[in-house]
Amino acid sequence: MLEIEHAKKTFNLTNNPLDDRIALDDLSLSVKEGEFVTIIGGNGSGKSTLMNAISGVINLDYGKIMIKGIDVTSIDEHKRAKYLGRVFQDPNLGTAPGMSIIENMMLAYRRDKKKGLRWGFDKKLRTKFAESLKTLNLGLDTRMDQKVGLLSGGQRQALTLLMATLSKPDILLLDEHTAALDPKTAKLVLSITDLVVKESKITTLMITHNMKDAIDYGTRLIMMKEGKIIFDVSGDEKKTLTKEDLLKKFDDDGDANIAL
Amino acid sequence: MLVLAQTGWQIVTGIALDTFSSGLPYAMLALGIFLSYRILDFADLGAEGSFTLGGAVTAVLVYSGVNPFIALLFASVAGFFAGSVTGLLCTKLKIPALLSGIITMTALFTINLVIMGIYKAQTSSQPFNILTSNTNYITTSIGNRFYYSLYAFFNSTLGLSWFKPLYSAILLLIVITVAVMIIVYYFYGTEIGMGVRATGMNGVMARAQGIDTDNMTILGLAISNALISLGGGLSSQVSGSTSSNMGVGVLVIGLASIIIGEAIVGRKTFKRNLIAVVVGAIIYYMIISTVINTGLLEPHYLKLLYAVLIVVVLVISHIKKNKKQVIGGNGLARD
Repeated sequence: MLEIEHAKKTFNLTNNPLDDRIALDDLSLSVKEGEFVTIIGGNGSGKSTLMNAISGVINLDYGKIMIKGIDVTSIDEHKRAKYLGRVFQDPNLGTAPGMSIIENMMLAYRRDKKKGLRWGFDKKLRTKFAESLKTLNLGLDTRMDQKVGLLSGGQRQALTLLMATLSKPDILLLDEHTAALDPKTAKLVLSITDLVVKESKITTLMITHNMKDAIDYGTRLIMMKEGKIIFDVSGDEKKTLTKEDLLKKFDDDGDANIAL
Repeated sequence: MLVLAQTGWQIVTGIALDTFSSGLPYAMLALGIFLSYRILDFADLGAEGSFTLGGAVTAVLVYSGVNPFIALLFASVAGFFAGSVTGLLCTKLKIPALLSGIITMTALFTINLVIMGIYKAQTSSQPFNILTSNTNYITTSIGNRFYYSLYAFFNSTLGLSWFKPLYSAILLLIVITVAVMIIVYYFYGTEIGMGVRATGMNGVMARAQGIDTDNMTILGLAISNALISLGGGLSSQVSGSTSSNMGVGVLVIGLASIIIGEAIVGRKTFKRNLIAVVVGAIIYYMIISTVINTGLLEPHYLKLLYAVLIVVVLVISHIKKNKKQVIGGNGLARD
């Protein structure tokens, strides 16, 4: 489903080569259809750069990215959007605050479709959207005409998640999407995530800072450091994984820069 | 006593007529600025150039014998292109938004002089020279052509002797304004229009939803400037004149209109916001024409008045906002 070959990316804010910061260091990754990959790693390990490279926010210096066998390495961000559903760390980034819930959903519904001069508000979709909103159990189905700017951070993340999967993406990218929420809301959004992913069997990549979540959720776990994948487990091996194992792995590499 | 009442009545009608005849072209302008400033979140300084561009194109075409309505259409198209240039500079050439607008505005100053110079070159035996004094000022009787037929219809055909030529101008302006509002409302409700709105609200989200934010920005600015140019065209038809500096200060007029309108009518829905902008422009112009018509200030104090007025409006809206914050948090209901 997703193939990344020899991805390299270096950031440099000055022109001095000594300031080069390697974000992705010859990283290769292959994700099979239906896999739910959790990604952990310290700050600056290249997790977000990986996400941004897949979604087209940044271009790679070297390497290749393929989705469903299609080479998307040099395809613009908005054109790649038809393959991808994305939820961001910042709850404000995933929705248009001045538009109503239903308008946001209309936009998301057309993510992979061509946009024309048809009226953007399809009344027939209303009941369909209301049903999807009901599954969130947040009472949003009765507030469909309210502006998203009025929603709380948790509600926005839940809505963004729903929007990302409204027209089924090939890959769902979750970039620390619970990090900005309070523990209770984070748990709620995470359980919704798990439900949605399991139900529609979407191939998913989820970055998290929480080791427990990384172990509890998903079918495969990847640990990143300095732009490389240093640990990659799946299947039974992942099921028996403990926090201590992960911590040890971190300590081995002299990196304790991670939240528990 | 009667004389005094009569003079009073004259002043009031004078203000009312002036408000609508001069205010409605500025309502069109304010709508255009609303579409860039509020909808795209883009402070487009090119507006000053586009407004004059509309006036210049309209004046030259009408003087060349083109139908005034067709002339307005061409003015809008010219503005559409001017806006596209600003958009291209900003998105494709990565020039900062503010600078893109300033570059277009600067370029348009020359272009406007050239356009006005075409007329000069055609009608006089003087060689084409934009630097000749007076070339940048064309006084016309465009206004008469614009509403003459309508005036004749009401005054002669219907026999309404009180119907002045200016009334027909106001009538036409109202029709055009409402028509444009309906078109704008419809367009911004279409799939593409929603894309433009999403782009202005949250570019990250828009791109994640497969919206080409570069193209939407260019399109949004093009439409915005088309309306601004149309406003300039209407303004030149009403006043019967156009000049190279007629656009100076229009950005301030537009912004003040938007803020006044939103404070009075509100901005709950897109429809309401459109109405707010038009109402705001009319109220704004009423204040201006009251000051001028009652002789409180000489007309050459106009631009100073624009500047002072927007400061007052901004300060009042800021105080209002602060008050709200003290009473109800940030004013947003959060669960």
